Amino acid sequence: MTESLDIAALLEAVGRSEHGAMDELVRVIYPDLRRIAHFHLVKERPGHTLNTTAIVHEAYLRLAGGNANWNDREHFLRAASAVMRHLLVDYARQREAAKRGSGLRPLTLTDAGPATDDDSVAVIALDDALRELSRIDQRLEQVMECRYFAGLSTRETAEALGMSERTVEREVLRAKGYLKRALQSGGG
Amino acid sequence: MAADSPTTGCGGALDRIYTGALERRGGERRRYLDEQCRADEPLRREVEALLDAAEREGDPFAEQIQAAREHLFRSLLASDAKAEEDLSGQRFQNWRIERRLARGGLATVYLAQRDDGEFVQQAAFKVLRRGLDTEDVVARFRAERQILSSLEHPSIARFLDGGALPDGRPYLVLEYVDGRPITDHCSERGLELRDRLRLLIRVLRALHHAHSHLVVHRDVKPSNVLVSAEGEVKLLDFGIAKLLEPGPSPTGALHTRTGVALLTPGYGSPEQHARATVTTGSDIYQAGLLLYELLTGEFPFDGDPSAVAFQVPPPSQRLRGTALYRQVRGDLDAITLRAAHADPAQRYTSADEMRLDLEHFLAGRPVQAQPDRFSYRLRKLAGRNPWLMPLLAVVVLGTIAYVVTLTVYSARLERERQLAAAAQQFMVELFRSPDPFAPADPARGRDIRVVDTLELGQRRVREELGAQPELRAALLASISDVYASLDQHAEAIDLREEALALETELHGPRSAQVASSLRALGYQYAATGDMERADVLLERQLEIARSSRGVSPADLAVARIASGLHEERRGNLDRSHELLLQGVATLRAEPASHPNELVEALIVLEQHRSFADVPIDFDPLREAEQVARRVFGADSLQAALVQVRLASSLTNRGEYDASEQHFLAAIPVLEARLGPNHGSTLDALNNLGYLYHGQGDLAGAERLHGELLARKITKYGEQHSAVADSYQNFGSAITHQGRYDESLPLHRKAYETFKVVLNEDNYVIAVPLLSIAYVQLRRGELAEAEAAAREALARLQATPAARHLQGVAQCLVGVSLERRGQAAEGGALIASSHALIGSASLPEPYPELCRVPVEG
Repeated sequence: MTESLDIAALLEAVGRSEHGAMDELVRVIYPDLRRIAHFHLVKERPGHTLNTTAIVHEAYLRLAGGNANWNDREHFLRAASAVMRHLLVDYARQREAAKRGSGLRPLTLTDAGPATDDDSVAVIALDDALRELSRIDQRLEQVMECRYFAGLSTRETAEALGMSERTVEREVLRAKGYLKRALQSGGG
Repeated sequence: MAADSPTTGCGGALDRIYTGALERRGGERRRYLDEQCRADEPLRREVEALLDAAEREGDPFAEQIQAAREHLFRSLLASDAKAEEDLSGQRFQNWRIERRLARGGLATVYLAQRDDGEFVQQAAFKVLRRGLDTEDVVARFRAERQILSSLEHPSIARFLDGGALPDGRPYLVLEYVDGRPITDHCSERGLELRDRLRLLIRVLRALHHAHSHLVVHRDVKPSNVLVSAEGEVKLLDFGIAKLLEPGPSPTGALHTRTGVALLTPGYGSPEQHARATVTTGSDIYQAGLLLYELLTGEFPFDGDPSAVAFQVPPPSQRLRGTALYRQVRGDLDAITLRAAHADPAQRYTSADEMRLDLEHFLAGRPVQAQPDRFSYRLRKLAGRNPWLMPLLAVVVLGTIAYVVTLTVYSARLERERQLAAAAQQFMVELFRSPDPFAPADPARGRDIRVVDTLELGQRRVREELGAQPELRAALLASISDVYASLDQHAEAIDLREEALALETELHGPRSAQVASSLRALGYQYAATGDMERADVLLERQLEIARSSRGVSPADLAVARIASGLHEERRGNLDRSHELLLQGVATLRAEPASHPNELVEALIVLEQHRSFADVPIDFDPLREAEQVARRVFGADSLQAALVQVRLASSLTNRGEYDASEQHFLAAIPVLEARLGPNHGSTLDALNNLGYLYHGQGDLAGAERLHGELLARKITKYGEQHSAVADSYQNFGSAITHQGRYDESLPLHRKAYETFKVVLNEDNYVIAVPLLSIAYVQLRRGELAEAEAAAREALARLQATPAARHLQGVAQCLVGVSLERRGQAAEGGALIASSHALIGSASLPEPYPELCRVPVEG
């Protein structure tokens, strides 16, 4: 499928920090993520939390159009993780900026229930922390991106990054040491 | 992140050492750190801080990030809503759009006013959303206009008009309904049950009207059933789902060709989810779900669509403890279950049928949905089934029976735990439908319900689970166990054999599952008296347990105990003792894992000690009591059953007060939980009678046994060992009051019935003979007495089970000889009988009669 080839190529481009590659990736994936999230939202009953992981999966199936193979799924999961991180961080930065009155219009949250300040702060802090982590080992950043920003399970993270589950667990543990230590010594 | 992040320092070395240390533990880790860090204190401290942070519990980010993800989606979706088109203020054909009302999955709805100057009319203006208007969708939209416009019913939101927007997107104009979803309407106004049903009746009339015009709604859910302030019911979105025909998709949900999920998951009928043909039946299913929600205020499946493939639970279940429970239980349960039956063939065939049933209910008339009552055939298990205990060997023979009862209850619970969630639902609903174990006075009345349920369960298992043999096997085994607990051993055996065949195929002939089924089957055959087959089966299960790999020590222990108990039944005392000791030794370390087997084994070991003088260096009875109390809890049915066993043992030991205490505590529990005529209840009463006898309250014993005899004849008919047993006990109570003329025919009856009902080599047949011999002695019929005693002796010698009984028989021969003038021979027999009797306590008057030496 042409779309999945695009994703793989786009991911590589993003990895090379090619200009505009991330935007392109977001453009490709984001509409589906959004539409599917919408239907999940519509179907859900009051009080239930939105299952964002399910949304990611459904988006994948939607794009793959029934021709899913492992490579595509891997790429997609990684891409989705990257996109979600991008979206979440973007969104959080906008909120924070709005609070400080920098002039950016915040997105309205009328239907959304209370978003606490802590959440935005946490997202930004985590984003910064992961970038720091990538200086030690890029794999750490990728693993935590999958785990946190996309909410993937150990197994899915292993798939997405082509590692064994055991390796994922080890990397998670390793990353947690750094992250928590960073929090202790006074994060941003 | 702070500028002085530890990673920017000696980053490379720090990470290497930290990573290395993570993979080591304890001493090894310390040594590694010593090596790597040498004298560099700050470095080591930093590494240790990282290790500590990594390994400490708690994830500071996870929750917040998850919350952030969710908020992101919601807010983006909300902004979507604002960014969407808004047609307010525009005019199309004869309609003026006033404002947007709602945004649905496919279409947006606006409030519109008729604008042709002719009359005022409010309407709902529905237009497909941008991007979702592919050609075929539009074509269908138009095609269905005809059908929709033909539906005219007071409870259906009328189709008024249709057309296309300038950009080609179709729109529909429908009667505007200002109302609340039916569920909200009912709860906000606190409507009572009957009023809610009346509302549903109107919905059903609407559905029927549509069905007769060949329109299937396909999306009957609360938000599509509105009720106005005046109480008018209107069904919305009629046939809209039908406009967009489902097609296959990778996720299996119903998708349109545009790839968008349509059906509200959780509300669809099973066949809709399975993408099978959708007919009017699926509307009825959804009406059933609606009924459920109206009755309980809750959705039956809690949003889990995978549960839809199985049966809706009876609504009364959710209402336990509330005032509504009684009203809903029974007829309304039946109506709901029939409407929302997983199998379309079992539902109401039309909305009208369902409506009529509701109207019957409201009028107090019988409801069609209740299942037929089967006539309950109490099969006479001629020649089978000793659940009983003859007077003297009270405890020994009851062994197998009690184990079956005890094992059955816990096995059933255990199995239910092991089954997958779906299967669990199946079984749990089966046993929770109208109070199957609630006692009623005639055994018939209560048991029929359960038997009905079991028959239904069997049918369903066979019909519905063809593709899931493992599940089927487990369920058949469970149902078998319940039959067993109802004394219906023939059915239990049939089902268990079937389960065994499946399990053999699935897991192999030497698997743990097969061993377990062999064990259960062995118990069943033993319970019906087929000892030969029971032998084979129990032998095989032990052999499998011994030599198969993957069998846990606990499983082996259970296998040993099962064999041991069976050997006991056969009278092979040594083998039994050895096996039971081995089993106990293993299981007592973890009593909660197989408490029934442990307790049973302990009790039988106790009998060996008291009857057969086998030395044991611990107190099995006390241990059994402790296990039962601790594992089952003082008030449980299991504890009551065990208490009865203990009480019987205590009776045999002569500890009458303690025994009576246990009986009086346990019997009410049995009567309440199992019913007054359940085999186990009757056995307990029987043993209580024996207690009275032992205490010397012969009149009390006589009363109790007489009553028991009557109950048993009613339950089993005359040809049954339980009845024979009662004749014997009843007779004994009268014998010991000296009314020999009355008692002799009773003992005779017992003997004759045992002969018919038991195998020829079963020593139990000898027991009434002893009584007959005694009575005849007392009446001076010496020749007859001697003959009877000799026959008894012969029977008892063939099986070494109860030596003390042998002793009694021998002494009776001796006494009759003496009285006929053969003093020497008689005396010798009497004297040598003492060795056989040993220290077993005999009831009066045998000790005196047999001149058993009093312990000095």
